Amino acid sequence: MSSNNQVSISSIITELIGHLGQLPGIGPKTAERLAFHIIKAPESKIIELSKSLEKSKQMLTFCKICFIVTENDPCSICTNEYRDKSVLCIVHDSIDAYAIENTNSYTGTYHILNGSISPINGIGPQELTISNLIERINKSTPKEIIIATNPTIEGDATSTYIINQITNNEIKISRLAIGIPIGGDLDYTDNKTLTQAFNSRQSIR
Amino acid sequence: MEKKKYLNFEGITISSRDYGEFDKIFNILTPETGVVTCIVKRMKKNNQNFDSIDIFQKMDFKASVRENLWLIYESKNKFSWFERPIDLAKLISSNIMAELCIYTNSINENNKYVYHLFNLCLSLISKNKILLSLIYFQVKILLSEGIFPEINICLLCNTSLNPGNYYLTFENGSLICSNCPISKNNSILLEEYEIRLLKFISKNEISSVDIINNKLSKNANIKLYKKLSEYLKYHTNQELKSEKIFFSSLN
Repeated sequence: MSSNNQVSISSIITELIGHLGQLPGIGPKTAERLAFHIIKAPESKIIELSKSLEKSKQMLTFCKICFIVTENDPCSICTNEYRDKSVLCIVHDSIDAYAIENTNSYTGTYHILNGSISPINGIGPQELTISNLIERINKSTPKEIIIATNPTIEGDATSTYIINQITNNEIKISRLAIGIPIGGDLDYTDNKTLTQAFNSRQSIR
Repeated sequence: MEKKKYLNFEGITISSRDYGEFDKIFNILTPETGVVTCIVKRMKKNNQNFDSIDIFQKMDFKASVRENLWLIYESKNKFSWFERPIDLAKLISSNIMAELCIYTNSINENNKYVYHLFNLCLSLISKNKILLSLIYFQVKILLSEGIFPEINICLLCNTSLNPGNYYLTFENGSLICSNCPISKNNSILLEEYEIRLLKFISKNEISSVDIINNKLSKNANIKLYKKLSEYLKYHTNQELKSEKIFFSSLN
């Protein structure tokens, strides 16, 4: 069969797939699926979506204190008088702070790093909000800092770097525990996690 | 229907990135195939078949092999070089070696050697011998890729070189004697001790290099590392992203 008989995909769809594929967490197949979903969806829905995208870009900003994504600067967490300002939790991204907020178990404040140190991607401490964090700690001297970076090598390197920058020895610094997930089976837990769970075990009596 | 073919192999994870909502893509250095790109599905969810995979771990893998992307089904941890939490300088230097592996992964016969070299240099880095391991890695990679410069004779006039300082020209891949014309673009001046060290590293194993290198200052090592890095950049046509924050991490 000659190549002239092949159906070529519209350049508009290709462009849409290309844009969607640039989003984090979206692979080429998902980008394709989303593109065709958008094309098939009612026009009103798509207008709503595009307005929402535009509004997010225009109205959302980063809190100048904690760098969380917010409509109001400073954000509702930093300005909330019931939040415990003496406890500061450091996370990679706003989405991590939202995950912790959903637990309803933390009442302190946050500092968002906006990423983790990733040398292979050219991301060093200067690309993150670490200098703002150190300035903030020196000004407000919290009683405790909870480091909640991801338990990956890069997350660990980020936390080590931050700890080395904090010169005030009176501040308690803690890390989130690593261990067996609730509902998980011991025999299916990998060696590293199990070792870590043993090392950070808690006494119950 | 054709039965899926599985491959069991050992490898060192050298870089990773997120893919999709739950998946991760890893570059894995293997002794047989060099650097291979692998996808681990649903890695961010709990998965019974996996020991936790992170970069710079030696692991046993089971994968189905496709042309460009291998799909990992199982993994078992064999060895980790670094105690957690890892120091930033150690992470960056390991990243530098990983990038060099990815950019110079061209000669298949060298895969076993590069795998062994990477192992060796990671263990040196874990013992805090960061600059030594990087310089050793640079020299041995240049040798294995066949782009190690000619440092015994001037390639332009074929005369052997007496001890001294000489320009290394990137294009010729050779030191140039003082009688031959030198274009200072794309060339660097190597000092006598640097040329001597390069000769020594190129011929010797790490144990003897370690003894010699101990006599050099940190600054001398940084200078030589930077020169070799420039030479490698010219030949691989790639800038190492990890290098951007390397020197500040050494302080």
